[in-house]
Parts: sequence; structure tokens; C-alpha cells
Amino acid sequence: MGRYLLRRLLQMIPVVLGITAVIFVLVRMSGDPVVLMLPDDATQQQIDQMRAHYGLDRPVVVQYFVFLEHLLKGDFGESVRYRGQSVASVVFERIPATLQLAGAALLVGVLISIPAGIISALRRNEWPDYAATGLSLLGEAMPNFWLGIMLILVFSVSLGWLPVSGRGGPEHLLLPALTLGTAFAAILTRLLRSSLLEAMSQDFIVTARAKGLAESTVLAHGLRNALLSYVTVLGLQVSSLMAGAVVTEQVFAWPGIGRLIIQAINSRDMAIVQAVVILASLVVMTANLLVDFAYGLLDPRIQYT
Amino acid sequence: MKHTLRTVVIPAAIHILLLFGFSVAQNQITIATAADLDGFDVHGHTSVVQQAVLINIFDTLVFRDPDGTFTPSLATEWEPRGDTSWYFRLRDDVVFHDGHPLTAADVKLSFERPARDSSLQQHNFFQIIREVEILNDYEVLVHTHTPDPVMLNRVSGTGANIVPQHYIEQVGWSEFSVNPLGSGPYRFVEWHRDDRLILDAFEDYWRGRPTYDRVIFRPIPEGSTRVGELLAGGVDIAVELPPEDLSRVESGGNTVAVPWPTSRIFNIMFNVRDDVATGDVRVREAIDYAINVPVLIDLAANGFGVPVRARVSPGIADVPMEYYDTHVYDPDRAVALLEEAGYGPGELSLTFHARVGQFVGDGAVAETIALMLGQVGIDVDLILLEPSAFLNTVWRTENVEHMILAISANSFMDGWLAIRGQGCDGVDYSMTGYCNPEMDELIPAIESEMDPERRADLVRRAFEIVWIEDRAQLALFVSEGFAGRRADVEWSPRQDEYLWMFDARPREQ
Repeated sequence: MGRYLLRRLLQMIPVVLGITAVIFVLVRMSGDPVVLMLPDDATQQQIDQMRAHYGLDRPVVVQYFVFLEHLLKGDFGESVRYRGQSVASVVFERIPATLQLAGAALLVGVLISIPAGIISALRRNEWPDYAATGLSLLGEAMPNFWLGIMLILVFSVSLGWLPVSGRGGPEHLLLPALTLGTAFAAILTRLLRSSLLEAMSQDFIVTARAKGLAESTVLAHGLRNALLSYVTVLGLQVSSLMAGAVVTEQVFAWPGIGRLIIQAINSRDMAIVQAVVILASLVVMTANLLVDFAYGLLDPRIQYT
Repeated sequence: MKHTLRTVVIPAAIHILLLFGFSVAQNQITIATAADLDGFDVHGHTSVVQQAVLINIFDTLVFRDPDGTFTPSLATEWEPRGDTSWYFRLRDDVVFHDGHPLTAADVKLSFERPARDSSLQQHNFFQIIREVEILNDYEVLVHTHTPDPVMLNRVSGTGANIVPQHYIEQVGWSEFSVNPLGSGPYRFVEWHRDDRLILDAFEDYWRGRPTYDRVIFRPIPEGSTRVGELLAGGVDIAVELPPEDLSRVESGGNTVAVPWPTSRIFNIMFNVRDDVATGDVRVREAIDYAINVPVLIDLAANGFGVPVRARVSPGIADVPMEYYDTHVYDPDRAVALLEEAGYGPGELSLTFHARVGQFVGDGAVAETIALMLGQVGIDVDLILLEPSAFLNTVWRTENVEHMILAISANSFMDGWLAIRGQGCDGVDYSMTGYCNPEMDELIPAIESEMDPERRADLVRRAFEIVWIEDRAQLALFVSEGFAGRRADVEWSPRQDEYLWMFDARPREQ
């Protein structure tokens, strides 16, 4: 297990390097940040001086190796927007808010999808199944931008029960978490339903019932098998959770990484974009690693060497 | 006893605490803005949106009244001395938020830094300054490389905030950019990026203590969310609200919609080179007559705009205001002009670049213009681009085939800013190919003419050439907006878009 973990961690390094190289080139190809930051009528001389200040007048290959050299020292470069401020501090400052929102959305998704998926599977072709499936379709189809604004209108403006936006206590988290977690829950509900139906039709379930096991125990056996694909998708959804958080953060003025990356892309703030991409890559790879370990817990036949 | 505790004492305590919280909250004002600050380095940006907030922390030498008149601020007197110097006498009773007196040394640093450091965004506006000579602790002489008739605009606008030399020498600019110290009515408390900026009243402010104990700026990028916060009472003032939400704010019960004046003008810029269709002034004139600007404002800007025929708006110095609130519209004349230029109906195709998503209604305005031109027989290939793509691929490049929609403001509050790039070697030449030798004489004359009346005449002449005679550009309308405030707050937007909270106060009921 230890060697497997070490191997997976070492594999992350070339992956991150490859991703940074691709993003490095793509961001520079997408446009000139200096043109965006200076007034519309700045002279060419001013543009050239600013480019020189940020090292953008050098060949891209040279810029990349300078970036790598600084990266090894933990320096992500100079932000064109947050001048004189540490890029790492700008990015890491957002992590608690992002973790809070993503974690809450994940929790919403799991808390809704597991009971809904189980009930839907067990009461197949009855009204609970129709209700759960219908709501899942609605949840997947509904744009979370629209859902967020509707929740604000109803619960914040009309009823006055919850704050409209911003980060604060648990009451601030509820609406954004519901907005982000709804589509997530919808996907997982349908997945768990179909996985559980398949598992419950296997021979070992027939055997378990023939042995006289309680139905709850039979369900537990089936669920454990169904959770393999559920956990896989859960891990994959982490990255889409981060993507979906961008819209949710905009609607609810949530100070997370999603808002930061959008602003950075629009202003071609390369240092911020690169830092966030590196962070996101590490998060996704770590999530995948945790999913792999979860397999080992769910299925004793799986061994890691 | 337990019953009394549960039914009387505890609820009473809760109510007292709530009342206390309410009374604390009552002396606090929260403003929802559309964007956050990038930091507190006053020379590191050129954005009015940033200055609108920073003016509460940092003073300037000169301040504008809401009607645009220059009034004393940190400077009590000023006058030009010779052609290339300006004298300023400073107040002697101003201290920074740490109690350190504000003196001429602070002014020297505040102006010489952007003047000499070309890596700063404000260098563009301050490089004319050669040196700030300290006469004594409260008098300075600002020397410029060339005559500067707009020095007062320069020292009252974006980037002109006075910063503390003693503090910056101690902590450095990097620390200052996240932990500022100023002399303004509010002092910095804390800043959570993209969440909130908290400022507390400065007890020893030279104008007097501000009314509110605390000011909180909350950046909320989504317009409908800003409206929601205003209606729900989460904020007291919300700016840059979507025009379609005007009725919601007006009917909110405790909310009031207030007009938000801007200097932002929708302006078509043409490629006027001889080898393209828009190089023919008759084609440009036809386009001018083909666009029904009042209808354009109603359809594409929800009625929020005033027609103009040049880049003019209230509060901008020296601009010919006879071109404000006026327009021309004559589609028959447009068709006749096109025929005169050799284009029958459907025979002229033009490429029209515009950005979408940066300002309210920008895409809709471009689409409506394309429709109107189609009605006089011009086939328009409309290319809408995301703002950064627009700036990188179209703006000031040679990729403009015929026309682009520019949206320009005038944070300098002077007519010169609108025409300074219109010379034969001007910054817009690569896009437009516009070259009028008379402009090449007028622009340097405007930049050095110290007599206000003569200068105003020169600016007027430049405007007439660009927008009326040559029709090198076609000004459409100055955009208006609206903000919202709670009914119990007294506050009005300013022409310079500063969110000057010193003037805000609870409304007498």
C-alpha cells in the first residue's frame, strides 16, 4: 500500500508539469494582459515598458523556464492585477471558502442522493420512484444560475429567512450549497438507483435471501456493491463541482477560487491562472487517489501493491 | 424562579442584545459594488471603480464638488507659476490615521513615484511631472516638463491620492498595498478579497468626524443579487443596477432608485482609409443619419441614455455642450447619400466589431445598430467579442475593416482626453487611419495652452473636426445608469462616480 501511494504521488509530478506547460502556452496565446490593464489610449511605448516589466517581451520558452525556476522556490510570479501581493496568498486565501462551499454541496448531494437513490430502487415503478426520477431530471436540467437567483428571490427577498449573498455563518452557506449541490444530487441519485437495481438482481442477493437474512442486511450487501460506481462518479464530480462553483460564487458573491479564476482569465492574469490550475490539478488527482483507496475499503478483493 | 428565568429574564436579555445590535448596525452603512479592489496601491490602477472606494481612505490635494467645481481639499490655495510650475499650499492640520502629520514630503512621494516609475499604470497620467519641489512643510511647487493646463484634473483624479511617506518607508509598497494608511474620512480595518472591505470612521478627520461609524463595501458581481441585497436590507446602497430592475427597486417599499450619471459614451469609430467603403465621408454620414438614437436608447439601453453628437457629457470641462441631447435621423437622406457614394440597396457590406458583456447593453446596442443600418440597405457583418478578446484582437490593431463600437468614459473630466489620440501619429491611427493635419496642430496646442478661454476654443474646434466635419467618429449616446438606496439613507451619486461616504447620512424621518 505504501509503495502504491508513493508511486501515485510521484506520478502527480509529471502530470502537474505537463498541465502547467499547456496552460502556460494557452494563456499567453489567448491575449496580452498589458493591453487589458492599461487605459485604452495608452501609447505603444507604455505598453512595451509594461511588457518588459512583467517579462512578457522574452520568448515564451524563456518565460516558462523562469516560471519553473521561481515555482521551485514557491513563487508563482507577479500578478498583473494584485500588484506587489503574493500570488500564493491571494490564491490560498480563497481555499477555506471554496472548501466550505464544495464540502457543503457535496454533503447536500450525498444526503439527498443516497436515500433518494435507495428508495427509488426499492420502490421501482411506484410513485416514490417516479418522484425521485422526475426530480432528478429537473435537478440536472435546471441551470444552477437560474436556481440560485430563484432561491434568493424566494427565501431571501420575499420571505427574509436567509441572507442574500456573501460569506458568513451557516445561514450564508445554505442557499449556495443547495444551488451547487442540486445538480450533483440529481446525477448521483439516478446513478445509485441503476447501480443498486443491478446489484440487487445478482445471484448473491438471491443466495442471501435464501439463507434467511433480514432484508436490511440484504440491502446492505447490495448497497456495498452499488457504491463502487457511486464513489467513482463522486470523485469525478469533484472537478465539475469546482467548475459549477464558478457560477454559484458569482450569484452569491461567494469569495472562492471560482470567482478568482474567472477574473484572472478575463484579465489574462497569468500568475493567478497558473497557480489556480496547479492547485486544481492537485485537488483532482488527490480526489482520484482517495476514490481508488475507497475501492479497497468497499471491495476486499482489491489489493494495492 | 426557573420559570421566571425562562419566560422573562432570558427573552428580555435576548431583546436587549438584539436592540444593542440594531443600534450598532444603525450607525453602519453597507454599499454593494460591482467589483472589488485590486489592492491599495493608488498608482497601480487607472480605474474609476477603484478610486470610487479609495477616495474614502486617501485624500487628494483638490476635490470636486458634485457639480464638478474644483474645491480645496488637502490644498487650500493653488496657482500656476510660469508655464511649467504649479504652486500648492497645504493644510497644516491634517494627520494620517496613525496621527502622523501630512506634509509636503508626502505630496512629493505621491506624485514623483508615478511620474518616474514606468511600470505603474498611473505613469501615463503623471509622467508630465518633472519634480515636486518642497518649499517648506506645507508648500510645494510642482514642476512639469511642459505646460500643464489640466494640473487640477490631474491632482483631483484617479491616482492622485496622497500617501504617507513615513509609513511606506517603514513597511514598503507591497505591505501598503494590503494594509494601507491614509488621511481620509475612513481608516482601513480589514479587507477580505471579493468579500468585503471594512472601514471605520477617522475621529480626527480634518473635515470633521464622518456620520457613520463604519462603512462596509461588498463586491457583488451579479446585478440581480445586488438588487436582492438592497430589497432584503442586506445593503444600504447598491450601485450599477441592471436597468430592467428599476421597477423592482422603485416598488420595493423601503428602497429608492436614484439616477447614476456617467461619462460613458457609445461611440462608433471608423476606418477612414481611402481603400475601404467607410473611407468615403458620405458613407459615414449616411450611417449617422440611419441610426435613430432615441429608439436605440429605448430598445437597447432600456431608455437609460441621452443622445449626443460628440463625446460630451455634463461635468466634462471645455466640451461643446451644444452637441449634448441632440441627434440627427433621416433614413431617406441616408439612402440618398449611399446612392451618391455609389451604393444601391444591399450593395454595401460592412464589418462591425463590438464587445459584449463589459457594459450594460453593449451587445444589444451593436445588434440594434446593425438592424437600423440594414433598413437603409447596408448589410452588416456583426462580430461580437468577449471584452478581453476584443481588446486583444481588434482594439488598436489593423484588424478593423470598417467600424467598431467603442465605449469610452472620461475619468479625467476634461475634453482633451477624448481627442488626445486623434492625431496622425495618435494611438488610434492603427485602427482608423485617421489623419487630419489640423488635429496635429490642435492637440499639442490644447496640451500646452494655459489660458482657459483660448483652450476651450481649441477643444471645441477639435471636437467639431472629429465628430461633425470629418465624422471620423460617430457619437451615439451617453449612457446613464441607476443606483438604489434604502429610504432611510441620504446619499446621491456623483458625476465622477466616487462613492464618497463622508456625505452620506441617515435620512431624517
